[in-house]
Amino acid sequence: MVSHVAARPATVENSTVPRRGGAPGRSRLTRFSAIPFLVPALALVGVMLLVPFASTVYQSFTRDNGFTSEFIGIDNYVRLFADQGFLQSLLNTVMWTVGTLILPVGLGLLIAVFTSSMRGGRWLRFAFILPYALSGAATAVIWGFILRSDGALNQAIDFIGLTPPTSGWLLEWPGNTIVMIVANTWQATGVTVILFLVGLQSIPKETVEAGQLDGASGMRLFWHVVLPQLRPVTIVVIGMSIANSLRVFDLIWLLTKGGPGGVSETLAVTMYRETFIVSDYGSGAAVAVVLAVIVVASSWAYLRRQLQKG
Amino acid sequence: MTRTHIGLKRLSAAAAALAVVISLGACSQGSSSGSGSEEGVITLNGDRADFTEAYKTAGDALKELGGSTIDPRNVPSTENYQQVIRSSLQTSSTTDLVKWWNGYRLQDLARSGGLADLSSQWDDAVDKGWVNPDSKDSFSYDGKVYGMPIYKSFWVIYYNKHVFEDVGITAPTTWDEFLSNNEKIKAAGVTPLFATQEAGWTSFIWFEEILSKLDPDFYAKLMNGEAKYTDDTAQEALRIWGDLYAKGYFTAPDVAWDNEPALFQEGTVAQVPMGTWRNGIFVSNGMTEADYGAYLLPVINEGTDPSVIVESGVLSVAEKAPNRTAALKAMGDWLNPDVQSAWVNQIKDTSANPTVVTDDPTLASVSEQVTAEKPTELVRFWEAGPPPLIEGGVQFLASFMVNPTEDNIMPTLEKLQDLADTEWAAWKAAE
Amino acid sequence: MISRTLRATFVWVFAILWLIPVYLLLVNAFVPAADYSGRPSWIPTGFGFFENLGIAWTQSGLGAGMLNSLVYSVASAGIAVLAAALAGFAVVIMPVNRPAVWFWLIYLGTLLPLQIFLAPLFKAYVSTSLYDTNLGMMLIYSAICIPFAFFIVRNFLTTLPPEITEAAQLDGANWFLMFRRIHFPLVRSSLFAAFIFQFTWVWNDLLFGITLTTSPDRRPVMAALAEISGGFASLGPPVVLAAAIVASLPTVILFITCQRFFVSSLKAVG
Repeated sequence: MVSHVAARPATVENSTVPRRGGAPGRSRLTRFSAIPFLVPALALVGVMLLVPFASTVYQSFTRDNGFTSEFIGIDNYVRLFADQGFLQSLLNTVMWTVGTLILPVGLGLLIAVFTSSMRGGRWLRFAFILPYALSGAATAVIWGFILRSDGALNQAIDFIGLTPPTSGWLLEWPGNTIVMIVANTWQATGVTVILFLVGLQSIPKETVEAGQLDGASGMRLFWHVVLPQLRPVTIVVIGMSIANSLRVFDLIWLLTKGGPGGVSETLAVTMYRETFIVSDYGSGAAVAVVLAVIVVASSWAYLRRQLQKG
Repeated sequence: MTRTHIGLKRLSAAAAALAVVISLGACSQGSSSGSGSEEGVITLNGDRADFTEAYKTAGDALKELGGSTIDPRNVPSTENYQQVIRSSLQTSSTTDLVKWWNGYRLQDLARSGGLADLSSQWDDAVDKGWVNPDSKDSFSYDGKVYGMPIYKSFWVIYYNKHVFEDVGITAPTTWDEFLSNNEKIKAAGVTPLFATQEAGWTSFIWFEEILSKLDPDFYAKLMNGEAKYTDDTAQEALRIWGDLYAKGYFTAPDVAWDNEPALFQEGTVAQVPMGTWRNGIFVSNGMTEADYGAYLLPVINEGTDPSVIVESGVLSVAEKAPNRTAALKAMGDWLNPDVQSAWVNQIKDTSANPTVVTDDPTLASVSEQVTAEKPTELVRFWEAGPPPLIEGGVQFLASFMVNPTEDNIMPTLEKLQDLADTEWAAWKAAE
Repeated sequence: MISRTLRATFVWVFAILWLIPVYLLLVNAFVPAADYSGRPSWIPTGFGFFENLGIAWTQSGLGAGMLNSLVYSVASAGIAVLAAALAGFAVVIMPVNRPAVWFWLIYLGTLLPLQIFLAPLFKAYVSTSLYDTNLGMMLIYSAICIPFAFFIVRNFLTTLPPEITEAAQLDGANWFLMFRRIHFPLVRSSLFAAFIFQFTWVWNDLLFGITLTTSPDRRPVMAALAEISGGFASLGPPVVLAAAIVASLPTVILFITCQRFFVSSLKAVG
């Protein structure tokens, strides 16, 4: 573990890792020596992921039905932005991002912190981690069971004596998007809890004790001593949540298929529909590119500052 | 540090050994996808896992006739299956036979030039009386046949006989009887009709049933793009549909389609509209002739010509099939009564060969009704128009199901018509 | 203290809420398939779990699927974590010209929606005979797992004090020895977390399994499961749920046993 070296929190000065180690005469040699370290990762990611993405970008400028393809310039994009359904998709995607940033991240942090100082915390934590280990198929079947009009949630509401909403949980917007965000939170919180735990674990006891000696306790201790030292992990959690929220697909597809009538579609779902259902590969590629741009832009906006700080 | 050093060394050695072992086997292809040009075997790709055994049985029957056996593969998801076929049909890795849909979906595939011409096999089958020549259009493109029918399913209303007995009703022969039956079933606390949009495609079922029983000619014209969704007849159909919803006859629109067999068997839902291909599931759940039956939905206004929605999947031969000759011969023999009886008795559906009689009592009763009424055969909505129109259409129909009010009729139909205009133009442009 | 009880209540309430869907999952998987009524049940009815499982097992090659997934998950997550550690080391510790460029090139892989890769990869695999092979699956899985593991390792490495690197260089160690002796052991815990996440991801993958394989002896477990839920409608949800539970067991067990690892020397924080 990290125990024999005190890990320095990133907010402390001198957090920029030295980039020019060694005598100047050796610098060219050392610069090239990074290449063999980078090659495995770059080769795999480049060939398997980036090349297909490049071909998708090209495909977005064509009309392609899987058999024939012809170049049509930015037609696909023009049609996309003029389409009402696409705008609805965008709106849902934004809702998902906001929801996923607030719920699993916030809840994960609270659970990680609370259970680490509780009796039996370890076992209670397991309740939150378990859903992450379940397969997407099981999750969608179970939440379908719960949320359908004849499902477990309405049965429970009936049992208590209240009347279930006539419109059903999955049938109307924005209710169905919100409800699916909650279902996704059920699974996504597991990851954030674990990551925050790893982060909490690497906070040296001394800093906490020093804070307590200074008279801080409870909320103040948390806010001023613990949270700043969680920054590296928070970066990972938020960065990952942004990326994941924009790509959620399985749950939405299996619960509502983006419906009814496309009201709960997100960009990832629209992309799938265009490519695999309507077989309009060009249009699907255009949606994919738009989605990729959004994900990269938002990740970059968030990470850029964080990365500079090391 | 030394212990970790040794441990690390051992671990790397083990990892390296494992890597070698894995990589030795790693490049070999799985058992179902080899080069596929084995003598006496033709490969088939499909998306129905429950057909794989039946394909093999049919293959055995084909072999008896001097042909090849069938080696079936399966892609578990229909959407992915379509992508796989589109990507592989014109490469050398395609299977010999490809299961597909008929109508416009077949045309979509045939246009690409990836399918072999089966016209001579078709004509041969017609000569032998193995298939009804009137249905040729739905298996053709540009005058040539490109697929042989896998089955010929009729769309019927299955009903739970126990519920009907308890309530004291019989299968309806008029629309008024249908309505009064539903009223009585509802009064008995059972949901009369099953309908859902949960599976995506299922939202067209009641639309096509009501519209075709209202005016079969209009249905045919609408499907061919010669009538408009905004015409009066279509409005009337949606009005009737909305009325059935208002009376509370339907299940909630998000009921899981997978739950339908269980709900039907339990008697929670009394009637289910489905193709005769659904029969196999009821049978494998243990239902017998005593438990359920099927009837054709009566026409809405007296004097309207009777009609029935018909559905036929196809088997096509890939132009680049590795075993092309063998596959073409298999298609020539496909509608042979020997092959067909083995095939349909396993999948528990009706054959496209009118001389083949099934041993399932419910299917037999449907065949009798069809023979007696001689209804016009209409192509199912799913295959009856350009695929993008259909895929968008089911979404609009789904949103009508969720809000089946008078106010929502014109908006839904207008959206359908807009989409129809766009897609028909695109389809004709690509001809 | 009051706030302690509040916190405990908060955790307990949410934990119970979180377990309800799992409870429903179990109860409904236990319903014998023949008794399934079409609606979910809250109360255990019957004990058909093993019967359901048996049906699923024979119909879909679940066993072969699990074996394949085990190979894919271990190999791909392992390769990815190693490649990510090497790359993270290079980008953070070693002197490279534009570390941000390399970072984004690799991290980009985790930002793109996965469906993008399906059609191009299918075509490429078919033409290079990688379709329906173990190697093909391991290649794509490793590639997909690298970016996130890289992200974790890279971030962890940036928290290390520069003195460690400086001290090692003064000792005259070359980069690879430094990596192997010093930095690799240091990042082990985050590597391990990354391995577990990626193992789970690969294990639970459905889309690539369906698209890039077709034989039962190459297909991963979730693709086999998809055959049951999509292909055999007569079997009904209890069978699917029973199979899904068994298919999820390895990842669940992995999380239980490894949770101790994450938690081992946790200090009370406030």
